[in-house]
Amino acid sequence: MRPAGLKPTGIERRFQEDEIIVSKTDPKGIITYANSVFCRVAGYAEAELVGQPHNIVRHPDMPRCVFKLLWDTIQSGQEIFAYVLNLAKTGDHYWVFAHVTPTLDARGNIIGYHSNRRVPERSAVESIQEIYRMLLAEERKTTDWRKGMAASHEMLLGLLRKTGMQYEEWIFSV
Amino acid sequence: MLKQGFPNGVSQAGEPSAEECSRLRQENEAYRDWVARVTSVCEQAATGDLEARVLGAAQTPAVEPLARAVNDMLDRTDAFVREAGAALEYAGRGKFFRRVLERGLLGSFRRAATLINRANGEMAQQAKVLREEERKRRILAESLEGAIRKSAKLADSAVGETAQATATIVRLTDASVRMGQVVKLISEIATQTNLLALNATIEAAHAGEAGKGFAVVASEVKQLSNQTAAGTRRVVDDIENIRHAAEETDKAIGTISQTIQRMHEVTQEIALAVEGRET
Repeated sequence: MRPAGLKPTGIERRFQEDEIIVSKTDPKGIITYANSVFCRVAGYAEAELVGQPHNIVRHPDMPRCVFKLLWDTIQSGQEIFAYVLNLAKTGDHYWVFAHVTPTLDARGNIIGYHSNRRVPERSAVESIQEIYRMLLAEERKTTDWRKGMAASHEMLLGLLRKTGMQYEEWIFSV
Repeated sequence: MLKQGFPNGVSQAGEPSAEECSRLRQENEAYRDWVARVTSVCEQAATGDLEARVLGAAQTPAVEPLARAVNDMLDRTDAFVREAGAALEYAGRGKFFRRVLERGLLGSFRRAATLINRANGEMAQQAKVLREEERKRRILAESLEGAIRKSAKLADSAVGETAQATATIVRLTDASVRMGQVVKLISEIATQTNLLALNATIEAAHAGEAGKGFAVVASEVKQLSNQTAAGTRRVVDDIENIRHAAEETDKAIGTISQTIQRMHEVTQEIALAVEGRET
């Protein structure tokens, strides 16, 4: 369980370049596996993560529209890459470049999701932070989170239109 | 701890106590249990199912490194399989920006990832060359299409001109037929004149001395009619030559017209071949 009233400390955590933070979830996003790097960086014991929803490490500064895009994509059976800011048990934060893929059974049914998180490039984190700040500001213009999320999603689509790229290509150019 | 029946620490070299036996038995059972769990995970992995992991070993220090090593091995294999599959799947759809993420892959995994990415780069390069060639071919096809349109126009106007030439030949032939009729008339007149001159000569002979002067005139008229007859024969020959030449010209124009049409068709076939369509 996430500690009640957990507030971000503003302290950043890092992990090694050759490490991968790995987790697996069931189709509903409940963690079924967390590797040792995940446990160490997020500051939770394995038993504290397994059985919990994956948003246990969600940071309040992450725009909702990014998670909407993520879920829409993986539920359609596609992979997705995303820069994600996560919150550790202590309130420290850490940036990851996440690669989320659906896990399929022999018949092609989605039986869960798998996420590999790698150390992101610093320059990419700086660029994405700017964009996330804008998206978050757009979301917070309204108290209705659904409306806010729809507005920031529109904003993200607008940004992509300007680049002339699909999200899947754009994310590698950040 | 002293064991019963073995005073002064004799137990260290002898039989373990019942308590220790029980503890060791429990520990042994726990290890057997872990070995079975790790074996099961490895067996699943061996069949290509990379989903299973060894969970719950954190509280057992003796097993935790084994569990972590097995999980790390599976995690990196899993990551490689997902990465390589995705990169190739994208490449298959002509999207070469999706590379295998080499970060986090070590040793052989990293080397294979590098190989795939290099191949990916080469495929991207080849795709670019193909696109460029396709673009050039398109431009060539378009310029050929323009040339074809011009060729069609030229062929049309050339065929039109040959039709006019044919009409001219027909008029020429008609004129030569009419000329032939006129010449025939002249020839008849020359024959009649010749007969008249003959009659005049006979009448002049009857008239004796008085008709002598007239006989000279009749002779002159006869000579003129003979010259006229000779002239008309030459004209008839010339007219026949003209008619023959007109016929030959008409045939030649027909052949030229067909050749122009055929040349236009060949140009169209070339254009279609360049565009890559069936002719």
